[in-house]
Amino acid sequence: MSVHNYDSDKELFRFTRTDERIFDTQFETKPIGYFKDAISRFRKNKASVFAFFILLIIITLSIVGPNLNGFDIKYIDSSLSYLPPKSNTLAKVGIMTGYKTYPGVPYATLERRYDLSSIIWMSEPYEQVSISGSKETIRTVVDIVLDEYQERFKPQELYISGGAALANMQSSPYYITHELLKEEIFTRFNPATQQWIIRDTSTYLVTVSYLGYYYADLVERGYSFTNTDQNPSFWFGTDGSGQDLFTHVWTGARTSLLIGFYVMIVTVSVGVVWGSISGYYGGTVDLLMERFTEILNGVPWLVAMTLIKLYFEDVPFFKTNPIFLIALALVITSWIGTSRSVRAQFYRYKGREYVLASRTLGAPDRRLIFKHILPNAIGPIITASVLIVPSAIFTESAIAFLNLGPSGTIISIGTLLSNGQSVLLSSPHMVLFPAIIISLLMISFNLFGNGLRDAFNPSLRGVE
Amino acid sequence: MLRYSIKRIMLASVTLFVILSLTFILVKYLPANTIPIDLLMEEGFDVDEWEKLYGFNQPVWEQYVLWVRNVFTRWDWGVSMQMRRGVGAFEVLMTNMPTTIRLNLIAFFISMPLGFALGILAALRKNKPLDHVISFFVMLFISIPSFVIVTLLMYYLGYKLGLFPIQYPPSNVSVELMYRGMVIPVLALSFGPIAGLTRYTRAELTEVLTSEFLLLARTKGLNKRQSVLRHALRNSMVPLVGIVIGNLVGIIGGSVIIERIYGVVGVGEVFLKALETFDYNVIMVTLAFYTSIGLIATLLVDISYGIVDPRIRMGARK
Repeated sequence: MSVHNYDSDKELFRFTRTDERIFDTQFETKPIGYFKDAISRFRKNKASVFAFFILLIIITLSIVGPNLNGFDIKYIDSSLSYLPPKSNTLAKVGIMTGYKTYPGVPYATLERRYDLSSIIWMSEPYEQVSISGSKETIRTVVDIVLDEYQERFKPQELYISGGAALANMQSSPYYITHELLKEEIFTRFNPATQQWIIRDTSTYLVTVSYLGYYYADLVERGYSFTNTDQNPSFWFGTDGSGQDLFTHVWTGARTSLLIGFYVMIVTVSVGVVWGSISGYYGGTVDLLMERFTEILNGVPWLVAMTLIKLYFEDVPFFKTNPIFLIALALVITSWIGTSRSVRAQFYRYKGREYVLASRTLGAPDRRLIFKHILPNAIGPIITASVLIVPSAIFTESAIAFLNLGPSGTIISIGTLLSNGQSVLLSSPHMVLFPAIIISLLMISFNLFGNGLRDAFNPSLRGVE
Repeated sequence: MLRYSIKRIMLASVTLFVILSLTFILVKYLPANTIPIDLLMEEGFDVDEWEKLYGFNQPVWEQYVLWVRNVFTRWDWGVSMQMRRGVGAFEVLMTNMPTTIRLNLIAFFISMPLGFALGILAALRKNKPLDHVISFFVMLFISIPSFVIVTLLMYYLGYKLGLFPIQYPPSNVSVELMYRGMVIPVLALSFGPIAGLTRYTRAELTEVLTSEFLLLARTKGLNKRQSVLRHALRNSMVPLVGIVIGNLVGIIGGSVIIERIYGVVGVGEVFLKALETFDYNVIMVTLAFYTSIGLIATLLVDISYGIVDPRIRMGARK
């Protein structure tokens, strides 16, 4: 076995590429940072992106929605109460027609109760037994489908006495169809009280028709119009005071989102600080801080809400801004979740070698916390801050549902649901629309939050 | 492990005591903390004895000392002042307990197996149509608030179809009506836990299914069925034990909102009524009840995690 002597065999080797010098070339691709990576991963999650757009739509509608159909949120008109949803466009395809089903209407009094032309459909008459006490009565009844809008806005005959304002027209603007009578008896219209003042003192029989929602404006501009064209159509129907539910639902969504937003801000700031300190220092500090959170966490939110309401409701600031009272009650326990996840991240990372290395090099606690460990918690913090919103909205609704909230007039999804609950059987639209909106909000927030969580979860790096 | 558990139990008791003391004082500083007039008018009512027992018209801290002594020495939680005058507060709570437990126990035994089964199914058929369908419904039922679900059930099943009563029937009705009345609240109580458990099971099982030891199990010649049943399921069930225990404890608490909407006279109803009428002693006893349930649930979950995975040691130093 011979050893080849390379030194002597110089002719076996030759230089290559003596004409150029070789460098490391720069990467032509751009570096992918943490957030960019997360966003690209988030984009792959179709459901979350979809949820994000639904959320954007809901948020936009909660900003512009209350002004979309021209109904004033403060306008109260008892003659418009509990109208079913109606949309002139959608009525052509058979949904949101403004029809309402009345089961078991006594057949004998049908004509007296309703204008027959408003009845869209009528079942065969059948017999119904009703028991009151020990007495049984059998009545012939029918089920009818009624065009609620036509029925409600049909012209009515009224006796009106002179010398006074039209008392029964105070709340509802009506149009006096009898032009002759109008000239004779109504001298002038008082826009401040929205009443016609009657000149002489005799009693008249006049036909009045509903004037429409835009009454005062039209009268002032001297419009002449036919009555039916002016009938409003409420997309989501109306509530018990004749207020437009569409306007209310979006105003309510705005309130709910705002509460969620306030809660989110406090939750994140308090939760991060608390969780960092407790997780980084550990030991006795952690034990004491954990006891504190455990005590707070142990207080059921029902009790927290009740006590806060009783103690702070009369504070002037909360009297004018009742939603902050709810936000305060929610904040008391909401930050604990965030602080726990931040704390867990600190426990996971503070023992790592790179932290030890940094500490050995003399880095102060401040640097270790903010520079080395906290950035690992950014993902969970963002996720938690998104997921806190639906839970705040849920709790707010629950508080409103149980009538535990401040007694001021807050319009939120919860109060709307709670109002609708009492008339669930007769006017289901009062519950249906707020229920749809809150469900959509919850689903899309959860999907969006879960998408963010998956996108930010570093353990998924390199998968897919 | 035993030391850890004992420490946790001690700490939880201290927490419970602190919470109750704080709330007692906060509640007592509210106005209207007196004996109702009509109770004073009742025959055989001894004001002096009550003052001695519960310390009315005395400083709050003295009332507090008396209250603590009564609870610890005689298990006397005071007397209801508004809801059921003169009846012991603990007894008021206990009379409504069976209804809540009955409903929630049924819901528990429906939701546990269903949740497990659906979760396992979804994990085994991951990213197939069945998994997508299950995951879709899980998302739906986790997100939609329980009060919306119970309202819709009441409207469609109760009113439109007329299958079940619209309100929870009182206790003196026929057996058949009683059982039919339980359907809607049980359904409403089950959807959430089913969805939650399905999600957890699916997540745990998919994690185990992708682990190395399962690959080893397949490599050494087990077929898919054997490896899933003997290795994957067993290992994924372990963390779920804590969740099941937590749910089981939560049963007694019930759902305040569902009870209120469906008119179930349960524990939640006692609590809400007490809050509405400021029936102090009943508030305190229900509060103690809810708080202990919450604490016990967290405690059991944490301890079970410690037993299952000894690497987890919450509270270790830096």
